[in-house]
Amino acid sequence: MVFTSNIFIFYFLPLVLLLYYALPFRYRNALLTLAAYVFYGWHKPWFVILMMYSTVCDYYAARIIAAPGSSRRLRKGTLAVAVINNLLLLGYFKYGVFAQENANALLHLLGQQGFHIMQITLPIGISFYTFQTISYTVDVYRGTAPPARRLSDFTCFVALFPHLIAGPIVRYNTIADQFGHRQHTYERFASGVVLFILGFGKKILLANAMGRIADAVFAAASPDALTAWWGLAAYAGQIYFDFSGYSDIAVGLGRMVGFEIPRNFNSPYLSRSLTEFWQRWHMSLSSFLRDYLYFPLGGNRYGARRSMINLWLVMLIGGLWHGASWKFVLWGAYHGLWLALERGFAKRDGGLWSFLPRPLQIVVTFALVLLAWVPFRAENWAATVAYLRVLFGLGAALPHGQLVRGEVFSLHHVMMMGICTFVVTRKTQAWDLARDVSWPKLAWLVPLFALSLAAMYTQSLNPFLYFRF
Amino acid sequence: MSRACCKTFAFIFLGIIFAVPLFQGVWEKAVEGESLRVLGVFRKVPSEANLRSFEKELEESCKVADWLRPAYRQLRWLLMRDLGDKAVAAADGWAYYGPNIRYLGEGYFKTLKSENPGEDPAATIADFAAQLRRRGIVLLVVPVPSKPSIAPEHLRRGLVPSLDLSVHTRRFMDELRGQGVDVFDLFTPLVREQREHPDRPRLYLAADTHWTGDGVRLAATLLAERVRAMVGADEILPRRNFRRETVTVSRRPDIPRMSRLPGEAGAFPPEKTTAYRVLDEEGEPYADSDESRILLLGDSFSRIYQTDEPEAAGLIANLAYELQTPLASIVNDGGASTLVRQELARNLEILQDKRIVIWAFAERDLRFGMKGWAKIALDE
Repeated sequence: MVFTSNIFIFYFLPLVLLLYYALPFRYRNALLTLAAYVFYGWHKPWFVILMMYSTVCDYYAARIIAAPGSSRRLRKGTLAVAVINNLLLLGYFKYGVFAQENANALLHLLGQQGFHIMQITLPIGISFYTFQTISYTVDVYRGTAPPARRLSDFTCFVALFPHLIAGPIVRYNTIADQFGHRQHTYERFASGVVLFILGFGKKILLANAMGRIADAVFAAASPDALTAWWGLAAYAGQIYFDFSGYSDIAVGLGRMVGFEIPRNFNSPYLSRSLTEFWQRWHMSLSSFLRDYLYFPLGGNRYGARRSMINLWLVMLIGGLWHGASWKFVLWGAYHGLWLALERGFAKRDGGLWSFLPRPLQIVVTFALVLLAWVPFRAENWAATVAYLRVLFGLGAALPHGQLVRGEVFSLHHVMMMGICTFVVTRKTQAWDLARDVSWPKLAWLVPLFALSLAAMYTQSLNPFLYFRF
Repeated sequence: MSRACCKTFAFIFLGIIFAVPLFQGVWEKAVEGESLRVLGVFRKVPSEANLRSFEKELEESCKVADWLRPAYRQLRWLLMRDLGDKAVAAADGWAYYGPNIRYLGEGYFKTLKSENPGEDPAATIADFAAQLRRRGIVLLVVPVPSKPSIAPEHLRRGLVPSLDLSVHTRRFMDELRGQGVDVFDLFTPLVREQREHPDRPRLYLAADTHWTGDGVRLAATLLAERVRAMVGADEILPRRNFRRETVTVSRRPDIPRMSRLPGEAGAFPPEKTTAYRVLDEEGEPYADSDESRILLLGDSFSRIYQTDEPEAAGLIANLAYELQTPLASIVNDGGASTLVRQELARNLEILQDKRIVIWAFAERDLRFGMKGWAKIALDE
């Protein structure tokens, strides 16, 4: 089910809230779990079984690990089995087709005949919930998280519908206490509503408007350089408003049912370096990769060079996590390279970078991030290369590309780009606005909600971009 | 944070999300006298397909959505001159249909294939031509230029009518010729007319996807020359004495209508165009004849002015006037890629005594054709 749909807003959500507040606390986790399974199964009912399987395996693995008297060997072995189990699930469903395609390509290179590629449907949200269950088992092993008291608590944690499909990636130890006790206040509920409305507006009014420009330009056969930059900027806006909008909705819904889900975005396009960007963009993934990949690889304990290599490797894997395609690997490698360079050189005191004025640092960082969105958005390698060539004036801008320019520089698109730029560059973001609910805010948030609803009804179903990851 | 404010806000939000389904339920029960649609979810097995169709039905029947949509579209138009994702508002009161721009601007030339997977328009057309040939009939394919191919100048300053804009279609036409299919090029003369004679009447309507009456007349004149060259004047039968009169038509443009812009008459008033109405010897409006040697398969480009106002002034009637013979025709709006051939296959008797089949379809259909480009067997 999609948050920005008629059925979610006017049927699923009211019903869940009604039952939630009508039931005594002890039944509420069970209700949320049931609701989450309906929410998840709405897409493809059978995939619920897969999520249940992952949940049950990790729940019992953690119990074995945390059981008094478990030997070190048993604990370690159980952890390995649990992690491998999750990675196999992820590997099969997310990377199965990718692996087959690469094997086929390799066979062709060797002059052998390829084989028929078995198509595998990707269960939505699998990247998110497997990462959460992995983090839980690892944390229990490390002793940094308590094992879940009941299977129902853990099931509720994994399946919690607000963040189930596209994050934020929540670690069990950050919300473990909330399964036993949650605060339900008007203040918390209202701040959840603020986040919900702002996230909803971001997706429906801004992300989808930017998506129209980006789709037109990326599909164009031969845009000119200006149009290509315009389309790329639009995609940067689309993915930011889409994903941060989803995260705002997730946190907002969590607050409506008493959960505090961590923040996922913090004005990332105002970052002054790539390092800062990754502290502000998809923050839950960054911290996950840091704690469960970068640190185990040695972090920065083995000198600057090793630290740079570790950073690069982590981002490479982070790229692959986003999607089973070499273009995502390229995207990760690119970010990793800049992070490593910043770690190794630019951040040193007295480095050239620190002398640049702050606005210039932001602009340069944004430009670097922007370039990385090309492989992320383009359909494949060839399209990536072609697009990059156009950006730098090396492509052939043909007359029919001018038609696309006429389309994407319409008054509506220029105005929407202006609005998006204004919102992106504001220091006060949805998270900050939700801290304090006031009468003036109420006066513009309610019309904003009505406007977003009206817009939703004029759009075809437009799922969040991160659903495919 | 004021508790009263939070409480008010929470209840307003809850009020909205509860009021909509409650109102919907009351409407369905009390006004429509039907059972609650929302309960439909329990009436079918919760399979993926059933859930999707249930969700779609729920949204389509939402009364609140019915009221909000037009208001939002109106607001969007008033504030930003936006027609939604199906159309682009351009300068001077012009509007372009989105798929026409997408067809020209995107990389169709790389594949020349329909959007329907596995369907190849060139192979389908060649197959159709071969089937007709076996019946002694020749096929003439006429891709009809879309508005941005011929009149792009309102979309962006600096754009001029140019054959480069229709590079995809012309490549496709070359491919068809390579397979032995006769193709008529309307692009070259229409672009030339648009470029060299800007003082003459326009060939395309401002806020409509179709051509003007003058565009129809020019296309018919050019096409008639080609038909005469292909079949010979003595085979163009039966002979008639058609005459033509000039009528002024006020046409409600289709682009704002497709964008569902409410009150589009205000933003895009009906456009006046001169149409050329064809009358027979008795002064009656032109009518098709199954006895004709010519069958025309077409879409809305053939239907406009022909069956809608003023009638008998479309491509079919004007071609008939130029040839001085009635035509037989099968026309389906947007369905010239496959639906017209399906209808032909169901009425094969119409092919009797035919010498030529003219198949006219909008160029964008090569990629977006309704029902794709399926091969249809013309079996008895």
